[in-house]
Amino acid sequence: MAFAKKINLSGQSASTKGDLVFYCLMLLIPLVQIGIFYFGVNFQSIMMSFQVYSTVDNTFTWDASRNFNLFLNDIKEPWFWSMVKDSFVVWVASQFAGTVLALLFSYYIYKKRTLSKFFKFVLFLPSIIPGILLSLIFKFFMNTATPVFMNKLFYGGERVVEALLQNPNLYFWIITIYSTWIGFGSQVLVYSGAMDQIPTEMIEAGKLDGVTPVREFFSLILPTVMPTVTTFVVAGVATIFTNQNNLFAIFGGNLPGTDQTIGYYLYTMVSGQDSMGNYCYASFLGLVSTCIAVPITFVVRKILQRVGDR
Amino acid sequence: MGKKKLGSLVGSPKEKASALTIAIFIILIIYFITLIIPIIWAFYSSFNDWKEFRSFYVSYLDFPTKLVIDNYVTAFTKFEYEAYTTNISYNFLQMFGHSVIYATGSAFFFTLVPLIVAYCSARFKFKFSKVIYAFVIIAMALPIVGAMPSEMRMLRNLGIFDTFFGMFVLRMNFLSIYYLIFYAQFESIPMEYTEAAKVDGASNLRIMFTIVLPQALSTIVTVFLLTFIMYWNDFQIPHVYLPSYPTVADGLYYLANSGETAINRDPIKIAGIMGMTLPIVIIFAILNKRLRFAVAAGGIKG
Repeated sequence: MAFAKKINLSGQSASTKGDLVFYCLMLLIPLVQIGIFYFGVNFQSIMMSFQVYSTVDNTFTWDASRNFNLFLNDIKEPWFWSMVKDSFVVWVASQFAGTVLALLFSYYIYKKRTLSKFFKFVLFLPSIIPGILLSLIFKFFMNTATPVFMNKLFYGGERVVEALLQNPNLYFWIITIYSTWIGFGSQVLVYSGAMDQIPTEMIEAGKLDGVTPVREFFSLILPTVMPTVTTFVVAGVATIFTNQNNLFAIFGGNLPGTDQTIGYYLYTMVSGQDSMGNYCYASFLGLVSTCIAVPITFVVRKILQRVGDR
Repeated sequence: MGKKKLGSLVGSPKEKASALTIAIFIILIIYFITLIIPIIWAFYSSFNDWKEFRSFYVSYLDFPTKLVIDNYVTAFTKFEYEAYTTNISYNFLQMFGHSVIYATGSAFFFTLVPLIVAYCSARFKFKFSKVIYAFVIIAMALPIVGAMPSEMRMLRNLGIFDTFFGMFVLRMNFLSIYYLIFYAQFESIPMEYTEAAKVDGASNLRIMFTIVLPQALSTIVTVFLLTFIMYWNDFQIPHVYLPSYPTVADGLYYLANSGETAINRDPIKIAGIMGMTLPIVIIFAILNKRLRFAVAAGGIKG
């Protein structure tokens, strides 16, 4: 019973042998799963960063420098930095523009203004309708209906307008706006739920003091929901490296490097036939991304906590 | 509409509308229009006669002169996707079956495992329970990127890659927000219930299933439904991890990008996309309120 002693130091209600047996049996499979698919997978991922895969004999062998050299070659290319820039643009748009809109809409719902229940339902829709469906409808709509509409509106039906998602100068921005626009519905529900917890006495006291709605929003509402906002934004840091911005759903795997995001690049690397040859380099890029994401996460958390304290 | 008129429209019974709420109201109206117009357009375009659809480019905005149901029939009878791993072709019904298995199994295990671990760590005050709780918090806060290749290699090594069983094993994971939700729920149930049942000679398993879990049934059902929808809509993971068993969401992607002659018409593709989404729309219509509560409680991945 050495193990029992070890895990039962608090000496509370779980003192019987039966409790311990039940506890161990129930946790056995979940802990084995975590051992293999969290610790094992992440450890193997680090190992794979320093390995190469041979498609000839289907084996992984050690090579400490190959992935690093591939990475050095990639970062010399303009498309790589364009991809990094695009990833940060998507992150800023989704996290900051999305959060601001979500907070404003939550405030409207919290104040129970006209049609607030209806808007709550509308804002929730993109969380339930399959993302792939919305993306495909958006693709068809932008490529077929919108050019016709623009032709009628601006050129009196005299010109053929290029499909918007085929215009290389436009499509990244259009998709980024679209992804941000449909991406914050669940935040609205969470933020409006958090606003509902604000004591009404506090709001009433503010009204007696003559605070304006704008001041009420910034001085009373925002500080109260700031911990929830911080959680969302901090959790969103990793999306710099994982957000595909709906690019794969709309364009498949054939987008030029200059228009990709890091998330799209990593995903297309390991999807499809004969992708095992890319596993090791994808793992290396994942390791680099994690090394960058961890400090950014802590910095963002610190900044938001300071903003919240003020 | 003047500000005064709009102000009275946007106001609530208790308060007058401010410039702020009027501005938000206008943005919300724009949001609604931009969201709904493409869906309405896709819906009516799915009934358009594809032979007329491309005759004049202006017809892309026109309502159909007659409702053509054939687009739906063609999409569901002619569309097949051949899995590159097995060269087996699947029709819509088979892909629907794959989706049901994938979403139900994944949702079941992704609900069950956090539930069991949360139950153990909240109801048994061993020190190890605190370790589990702290581990979940830390693991969720650490942004680990790019583990997908290693995960696939692990599944291959275990011989369960590209199988439903492999996907379910992957979902037996308690590192999720649902662990925290279940933990909070189980911790709030008084221990007196358990102690009284023990005095009466009930086993731990009986206490769990007949006393504690029934009190959390509403949360359990909600989490299951939420995760079911998440996995039903999931397109990227089955696309890579289950290439031999294409799901409906995967099928939508192939349908939209298909160059197959019989279905390579926009109205037919749109009809297929609209039809494949019908089950989830029905679930949503029935369970709208419960699901909204669930999202407010725990968030959702899109």
